Amino acid sequence: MKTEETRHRVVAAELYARHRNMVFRQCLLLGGGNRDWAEDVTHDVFVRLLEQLTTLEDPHDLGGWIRRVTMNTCMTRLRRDGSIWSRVRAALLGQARASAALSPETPERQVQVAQQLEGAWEQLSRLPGKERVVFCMRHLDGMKQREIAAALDLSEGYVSKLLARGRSRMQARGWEVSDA
Amino acid sequence: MPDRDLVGQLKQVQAALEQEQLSPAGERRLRRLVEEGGQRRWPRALLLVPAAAAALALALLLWPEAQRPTLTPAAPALIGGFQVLDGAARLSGAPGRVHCGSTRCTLRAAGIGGSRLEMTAGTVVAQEQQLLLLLQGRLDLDVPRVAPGGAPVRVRVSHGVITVLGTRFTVWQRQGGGRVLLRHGQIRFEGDQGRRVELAPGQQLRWPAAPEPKPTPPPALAPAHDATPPPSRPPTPARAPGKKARARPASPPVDIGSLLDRVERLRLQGRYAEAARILGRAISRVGDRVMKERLSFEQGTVLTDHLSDGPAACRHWRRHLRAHGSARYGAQIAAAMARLECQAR
Repeated sequence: MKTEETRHRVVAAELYARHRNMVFRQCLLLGGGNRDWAEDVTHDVFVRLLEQLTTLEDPHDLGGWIRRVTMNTCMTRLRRDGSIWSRVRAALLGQARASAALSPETPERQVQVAQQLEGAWEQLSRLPGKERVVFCMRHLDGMKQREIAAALDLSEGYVSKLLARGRSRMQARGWEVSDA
Repeated sequence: MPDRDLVGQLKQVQAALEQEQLSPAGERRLRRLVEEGGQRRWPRALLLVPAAAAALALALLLWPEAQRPTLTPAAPALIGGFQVLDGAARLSGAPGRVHCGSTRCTLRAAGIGGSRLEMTAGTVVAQEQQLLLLLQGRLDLDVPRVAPGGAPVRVRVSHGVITVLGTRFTVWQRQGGGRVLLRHGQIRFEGDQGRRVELAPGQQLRWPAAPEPKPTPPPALAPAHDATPPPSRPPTPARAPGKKARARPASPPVDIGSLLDRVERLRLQGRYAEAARILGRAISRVGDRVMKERLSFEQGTVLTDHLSDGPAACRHWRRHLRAHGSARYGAQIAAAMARLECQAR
């Protein structure tokens, strides 16, 4: 019994060390660069991981599972925050607005990242949550529609529809969307 | 000629993000979570870190035997004596204090009559036996009816204790004071200075008490006390159960905080049409242009995101742009109008 518990403890520490930054970056990408938001969602992902650790068959090889949970958690949070309600409320009540910018370390990198932010990233952030997540999984992570459907527990047809919608929105704004 | 290859550019962004890491504070918070996760799943004998052992001992002291967490995977996370049902709650600096780190957290206080707590970001609570401590922030509390002879739930705030007699209410605690708004049931506030007030539904009470409190005419169903009705609900005759709400008195001042709280509640209940109506009414009563613009923007987001009425949303955004221009929310409105395909309407 003790051995089993010790093993889980070690696994949790190992997963934290191995995946925390991957989860954070994924959230940062989907959250349009909002670090606070990304850290919050990363926290949520690890809460779920810890809750379910004992039920997972091979806890050492959880990269795919964590990515799936990350995407699902981001999707849920994007939907919940979709009305920009919290930001408007914060402004009205005079509270600090969440910082939406990265904090690059060098001026060169600042320029580089800022240019991307002004263009493509902003376009991505304007997609509705579900479309954004599916778009990234397909075009940035190179996943097949079937794999996305399985990961997000959606039908393949629905994934295809979300992708087509996202693509047509981008094309309507003058962007080219090459298939992965 | 600008590069219009979206995927190519996004991949560059993704590559740039490869250098990004959690902030030191985020790292600490996450590491603590992982450690806490271990604590709640493994017996005390395995806990070698003295601080962790102290935290667990405190938890064991505070929770009755029957309420202690089981180690089954399906059990909700247990932090500081609370079951975390939803949201990113975490232990705050002091032992037993729980801090809500996401937009909204839902907890169950097993040691306090199974009360359900809804907290907004930044709220900090703790529990001491039958006493719930609200240290800062906003808390919606849903307390099961107290059995005859049972000990009532009590909430400690900065200037007194609220005794709950089976009810639902919201408490705000800020530096130096706060207020409670009763929604259902009955509560009693016992101030540190001997003030004792019972509240009826719809009434609210602030602390500390004003130097010379002016008693307001109580609603017909409410007992006489120094509690005041919420700013967004001026003292109108109490409604008989089941009857429809009457029209409000003409042009009372708009309390933006209360208005937004009310709209938020409606949104949480899925009553979007009502939320949009309230915002629309408030816009006409607010004098400040910036406030008008912000409320109008919020009304637009409700119409766009929650009500399936594209034409109405498009009309609203056009009106908004005519009245306020696009300087403040131009990008968001353009995105909303594109999503709604307003050009085709």
